[in-house]
Amino acid sequence: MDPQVVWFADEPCRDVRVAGGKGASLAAMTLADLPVPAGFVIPAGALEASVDGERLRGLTLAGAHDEARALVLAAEPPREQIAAAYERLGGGPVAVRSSATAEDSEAASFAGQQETYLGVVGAGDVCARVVECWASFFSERALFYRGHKGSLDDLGMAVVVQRMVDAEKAGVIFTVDPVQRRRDQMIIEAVLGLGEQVVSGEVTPDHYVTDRAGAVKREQLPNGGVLTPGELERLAELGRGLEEHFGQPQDVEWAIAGGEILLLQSRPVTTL
Amino acid sequence: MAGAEAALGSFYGSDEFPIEWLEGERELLWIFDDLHCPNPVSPMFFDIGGWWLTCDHMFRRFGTPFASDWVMKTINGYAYMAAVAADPEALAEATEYEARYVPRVPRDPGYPARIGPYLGAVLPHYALNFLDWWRERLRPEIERNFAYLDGYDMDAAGLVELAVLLEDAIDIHDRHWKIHWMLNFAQFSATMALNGTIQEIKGDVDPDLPGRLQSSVDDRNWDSIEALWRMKEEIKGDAELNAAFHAGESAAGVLAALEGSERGRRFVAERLRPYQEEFGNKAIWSHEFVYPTWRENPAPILEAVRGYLETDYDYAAALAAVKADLESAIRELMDGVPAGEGRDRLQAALDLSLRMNPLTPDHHFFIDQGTNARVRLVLVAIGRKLVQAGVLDDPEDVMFLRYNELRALVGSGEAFDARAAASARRDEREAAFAIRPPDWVGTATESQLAFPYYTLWGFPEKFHRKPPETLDRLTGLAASPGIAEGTARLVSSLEEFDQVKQGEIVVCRMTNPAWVVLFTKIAGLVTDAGGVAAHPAVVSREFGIPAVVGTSTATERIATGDRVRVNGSTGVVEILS
Repeated sequence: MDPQVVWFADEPCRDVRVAGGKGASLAAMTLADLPVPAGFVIPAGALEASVDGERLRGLTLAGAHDEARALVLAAEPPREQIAAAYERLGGGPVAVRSSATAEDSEAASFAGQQETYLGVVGAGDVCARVVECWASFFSERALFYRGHKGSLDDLGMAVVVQRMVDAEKAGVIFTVDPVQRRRDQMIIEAVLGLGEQVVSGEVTPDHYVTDRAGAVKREQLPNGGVLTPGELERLAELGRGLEEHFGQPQDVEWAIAGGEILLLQSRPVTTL
Repeated sequence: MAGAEAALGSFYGSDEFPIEWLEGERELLWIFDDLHCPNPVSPMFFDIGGWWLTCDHMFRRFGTPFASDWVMKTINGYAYMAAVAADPEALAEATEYEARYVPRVPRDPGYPARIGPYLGAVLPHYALNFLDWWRERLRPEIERNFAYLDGYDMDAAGLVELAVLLEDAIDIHDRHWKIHWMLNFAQFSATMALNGTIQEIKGDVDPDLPGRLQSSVDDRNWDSIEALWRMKEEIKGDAELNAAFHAGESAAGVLAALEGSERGRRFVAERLRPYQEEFGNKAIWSHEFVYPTWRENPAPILEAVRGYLETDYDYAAALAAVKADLESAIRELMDGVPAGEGRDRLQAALDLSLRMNPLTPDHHFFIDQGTNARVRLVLVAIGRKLVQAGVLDDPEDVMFLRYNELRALVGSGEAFDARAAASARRDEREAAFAIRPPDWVGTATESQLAFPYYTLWGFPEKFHRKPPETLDRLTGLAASPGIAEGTARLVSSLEEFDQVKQGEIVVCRMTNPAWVVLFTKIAGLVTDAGGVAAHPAVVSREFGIPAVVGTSTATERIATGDRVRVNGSTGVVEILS
């Protein structure tokens, strides 16, 4: 039987067919010794092992999204393995995210196939969220989209479980300036607390335009200056490292906890 | 000589807008060319791309008594133009490639008075014949030049080969701009002749009528709209394509969705790419090299198609409406004119002018857009070679070098620190966005203000107008570069989209993908929420619309109808009087 939990550091986790796009990316960054919070993936095959796969496929192909969702919501995830992995992670709050194996994960995210649950505590809740991530794959919108792509029989949805950091500060780095279209400067945005507020646009972050070394060229500080010059330099260094690692400009989500910089996500910048 | 005439006003610089003057420059009236270059101009475009580079040829060819050249000067990053009188004593020291330069005027004080009748004699000949020259000789010449540049394998060529190709591209550019001025004079002459005949035969007419008689219903612009509309129709009738166009939040998302399916890839290969080749030789600002063309980045095409999908744009109806208006304008003009010699002359002047209507959109397509875009593509190809050679980090850096610096770099990659130079010039250009350039500088005289072309820039009215004052100012994040001034329109829901007029500045809390229709008609955007990677910022950049996001308070402090100025490069929004 295939393993029902793979750790970011495990080799199979680097395979997008096993861990999905998000999981494989976290595994690759872990391998590169980048400061990624620890975590594991419930691999893509686990869903099929937890339900009547044949029936689920039949419902999906028939476009019966309500029945398919009901079937998935009643699924029995590998509780013991998930609970053991959660304990090994140290308990405490985790983030649970779906991680699609489809190539066009950007489009998939807009089709509502990407769920994120933050601050999940306790093995029971983690299992419940894993099942909800699976179910999101069978929403009407997701099925409509996959139907048009001709990939309805694809049940490849992995789920990432990652330790949540108790962030003092968080934000994003663009390793190139997408506004001025400049490769010789970066944009760093930061808020106090969790970074989700920056990404969702709920809070206006402190905004720094820096050179490649992290020295500030311009700044706008509605929060009064969240980052120190030393932190800006270290973030710029992280950005440069990621750009080199992935071979193209990156859009990076980061957090600072206990003085340590942690890397939450890194994606290519597509708008330059 | 200009100096002998009384000055109506002068501005030689201030602390906020310092000006360095060369000999002879102060005596001229310099007008900010916001019509073509509203943004700070890049060094490379200033050196080799400008429309002004062939104006001495135009004035010499036509024998204009009112000017011998049109010169340009960058002041604090902005392009200012001055017409030089056809006066042998006028010694304007314009900077072309930073070299001393004096316009060519015969050493004959009587020249302007004597040459005027020549212009009067030849102009009607241009008006009568230009369309035939254009169709039979000039447009084919332009298309041959394009075929040469488009067919050139720039990836396979070496740096020196591309440097020489750039010289060919500059020659082509200059030749096309010479054609541009002939076309302009011919069209100007036909329009003047028509307006003169209207005045003579009919007296005063509705002031909108002459403008309505200029509408074109058959040109490359309509061709490009028709092709977009065809794409929209195909998508509308295909569930899979429709899903892809609704999957992405931005054009990049739509493209990713298209690339994710066989049907989508076929659409990209058979529809999108050919459209880019044929109609993509343009950028959001034609008179600049720093903006990617649609050929390089199809985002504006995808966004336009998305807008058409949302409104179910009807090409045939839009074209029919323009045709109907033109026909009604023609009827309005000819109605009540009695048969006879007068009517025949009016009809002849009208026919000639109507025949030339497509020249306005077509010359934009072939010259302003198509020619400048192709010079940019050669420059980008050179930039790539310089990146490969380790001399630059970004091919686009080439636009921030002077023409002769680039040539020095072709000679030796170690000629100077090109990275540092490009970086510093990019800083200068960004800083220039914070400056508000005055409408004019130098010395204004009656005759300088009377230069016939200046009406296109709103002069002499602008000279007498008091510039608006800033009543309030709010700050957000610079999300999409550029500056836009216009009337504010607060929008809070989809139901209010119909009220938004072309050229308005939309002020809202936040945008989402359903708002794409708005982006096709607004001049600028201000939001309360969002950062530089949020939806309003990304889509504004795809459309090339100046945007300030994350102001927190814009929807409280700005009211519909306020005059606002959005600076998407500095993040400042001003409310003007």
